[in-house]
Amino acid sequence: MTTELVPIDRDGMRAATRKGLIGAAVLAVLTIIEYFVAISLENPLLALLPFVALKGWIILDVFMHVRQVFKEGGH
Amino acid sequence: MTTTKPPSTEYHQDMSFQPRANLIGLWLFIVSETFLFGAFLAARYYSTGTAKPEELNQNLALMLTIVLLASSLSAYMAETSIRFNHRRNFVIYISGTIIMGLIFLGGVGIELKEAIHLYPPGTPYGSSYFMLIGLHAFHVVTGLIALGFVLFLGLKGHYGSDDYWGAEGVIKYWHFVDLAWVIIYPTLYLF
Repeated sequence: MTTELVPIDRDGMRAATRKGLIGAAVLAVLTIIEYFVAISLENPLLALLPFVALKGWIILDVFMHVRQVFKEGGH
Repeated sequence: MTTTKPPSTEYHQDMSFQPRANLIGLWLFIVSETFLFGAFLAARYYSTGTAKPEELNQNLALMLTIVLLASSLSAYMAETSIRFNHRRNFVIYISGTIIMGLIFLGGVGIELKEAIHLYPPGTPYGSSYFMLIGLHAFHVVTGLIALGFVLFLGLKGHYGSDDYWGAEGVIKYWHFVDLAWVIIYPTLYLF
């Protein structure tokens, strides 16, 4: 159990927070555009694939830190 | 008489490789889960192509997508908080993630209640729909249980900037649940 007080790196936390907020905002915008594209096209499959791929990559990269896996000692 | 320890004992005492092994192990698990979801997604396209019923509740599905994306942001903020030793924010964001996960489950319950009459599991689309939604909802439930444990341990003072793998692993799993929905949502509602 951690009981000692450790100072918080506020700048580092602010930068990481900003990265997450930008990622989430882009995801939200893509989701809304994806929805309107889907309801306005007769057969939207091909038009929506880039949205799915981009949203998936943002979650993998920004939220899941997938690049850690490919870095030497990346944790 | 020799006093050296057997090599296997020395190997187990060296734990420096453990964080890397944890990370690779989790990602292998996530890849295996991807194959599971991939099989059911393929079954949907094989059985019905991109055909979908007109009665789908598009507004509710969009709301659920936004709630799940918001829960992913909250989980990310929880991970960031504990990485920088901000324990209070960690507990707040983990709680927020759990609440949004429960809201998502409630919405799925409403969806299933409507769907059982409009496209029952016996129909081609209905079987794909209930399998995919059910499989995903099961992952949401297991994610919520794991997040509940993380919250409990966090409240008891566990985790810190140098030791938060337990929380990070569960949060990565939660993001995977979100990632799966990002593909399931257009597969069932939009294509």
